[in-house]
Amino acid sequence: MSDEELPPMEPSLQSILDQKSLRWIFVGGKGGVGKTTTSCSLAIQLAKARESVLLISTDPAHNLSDAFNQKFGKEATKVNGFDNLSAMEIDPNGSIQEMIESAGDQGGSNPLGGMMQDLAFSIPGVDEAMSFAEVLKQVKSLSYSVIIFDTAPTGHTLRFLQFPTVLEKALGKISQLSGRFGPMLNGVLGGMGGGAGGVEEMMAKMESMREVIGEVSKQFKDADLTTFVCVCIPEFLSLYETERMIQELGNYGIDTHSIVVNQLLFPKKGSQCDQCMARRKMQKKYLEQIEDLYEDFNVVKCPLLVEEVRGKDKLESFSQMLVTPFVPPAED
Amino acid sequence: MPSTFLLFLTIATTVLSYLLSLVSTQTLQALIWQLATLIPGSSAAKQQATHRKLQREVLTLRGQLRATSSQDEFAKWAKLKRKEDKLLADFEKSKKALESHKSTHSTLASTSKRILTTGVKLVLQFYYLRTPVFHLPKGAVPGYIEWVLAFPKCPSGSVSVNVWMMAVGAVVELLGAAVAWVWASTVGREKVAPLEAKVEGEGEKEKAGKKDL
Repeated sequence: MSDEELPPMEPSLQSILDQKSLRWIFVGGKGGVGKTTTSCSLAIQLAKARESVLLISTDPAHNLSDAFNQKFGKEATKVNGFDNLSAMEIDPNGSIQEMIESAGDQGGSNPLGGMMQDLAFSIPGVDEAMSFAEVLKQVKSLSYSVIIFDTAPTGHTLRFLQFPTVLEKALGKISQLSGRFGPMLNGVLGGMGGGAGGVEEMMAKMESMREVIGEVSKQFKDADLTTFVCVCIPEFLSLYETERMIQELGNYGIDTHSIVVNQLLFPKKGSQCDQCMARRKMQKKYLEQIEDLYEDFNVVKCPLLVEEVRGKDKLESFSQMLVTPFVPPAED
Repeated sequence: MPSTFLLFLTIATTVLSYLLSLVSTQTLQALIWQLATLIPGSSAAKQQATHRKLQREVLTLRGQLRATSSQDEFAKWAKLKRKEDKLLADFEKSKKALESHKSTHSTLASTSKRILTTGVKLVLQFYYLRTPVFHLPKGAVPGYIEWVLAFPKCPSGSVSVNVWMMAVGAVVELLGAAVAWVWASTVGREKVAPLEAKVEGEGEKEKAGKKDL
């Protein structure tokens, strides 16, 4: 390999701050590793470097409100104490529910239309796709220079990112089906006197959604526009999930070159805490493995703090560690 | 002129084509594939070789993975895992290519089978259209049966190739069934199951054919 002469990668997220072309930043990892803290901190740092930043949580267990001690809703709201940082929380399941309900109101008179709708909504990933399309529509109209997604724990995230392909396949199948049976269905619906053309109308809706999604997926696969920040803790399962996620992101063609390792323990000199020492030893082992495995990544190390990182001030001080690497205290 | 040569030729052809008809097209296909891979430098042989190589590599990598502790040497393990994933993808691709290559032989197999069974018989029947296989003693059978036996173009009083081959075919099939029955009842009941399945399958095929008509 020729990149052996290259200097080691910076242990900070400075590269993300410097890459002005970035428009979408995803923050993901296993549950409980500090995704929300990391994404909030990153948002704070980005707010210093960009014109306007939007932080979106797609995790059904919303934590943004907790992190900032401020209630956020489905609309983008300015975060207290910042003038160019907004946040919003969306529920991936909420918007699909609404869509089904609104569809139910329209097509109440014909049961077959409802059946087709059920069929369409049973496509795997379609709920996320819908909510995502919805968010993107909103986000496009607002003009933020960068948007940070605080995603749900790993499995969910990947499904979220995979859906354009899944949906495209499923929609292809459905349009084939409706091409064959559509006339017949419409004949039946027409005969019942109910809203004829319901199937076609729905297909047109789905088709337009597919276009939006196709465009979005193209943007996500552009390394100049999108990057993924992996958050993990130095433990086996978290590391395993991270490796899996990085591989899958590679398969989807989504750029990722940053890992944040959270909750590092640095026992003070002369510490008598056996648990801390044992844990430190284990973390050291995994840290070495991380450095060996991800030598072409920005690996940021953040210590485990003695208090919860909540509120603007604490987040701000934590966010500093993403830019200037944390210097661990001297050890025995 | 009746000839012993023709007599034996027809019997041999019928028996051989009956035996060949027992071999399934799939088996024939596999056989053709085997033969194709034996030819050095052929595309089949190359494909087979690369596939085998990939398979070996996957297996050795799996062994290494098993020997590596994912908890103690995560970096090494993950690197191996990445390699394995890549190899597996290649392996799947090669497998698919191999399958599709194999299936191109299916038409060859079915055509050659048809030629070797029905085709050869037809050729024989046309070639020896006017040649009697043997003569019957005069007056042994009534005239109209003589006419049938000489059908279509043999001199009256002789047996034509067409009729003779039909007769031999019926006898061979009967003998085959008898052998199969003896085989089944001596070697064991469990061996007879695939035979029954095959007969049933053929019956279904016939039914399907009729439906198509």
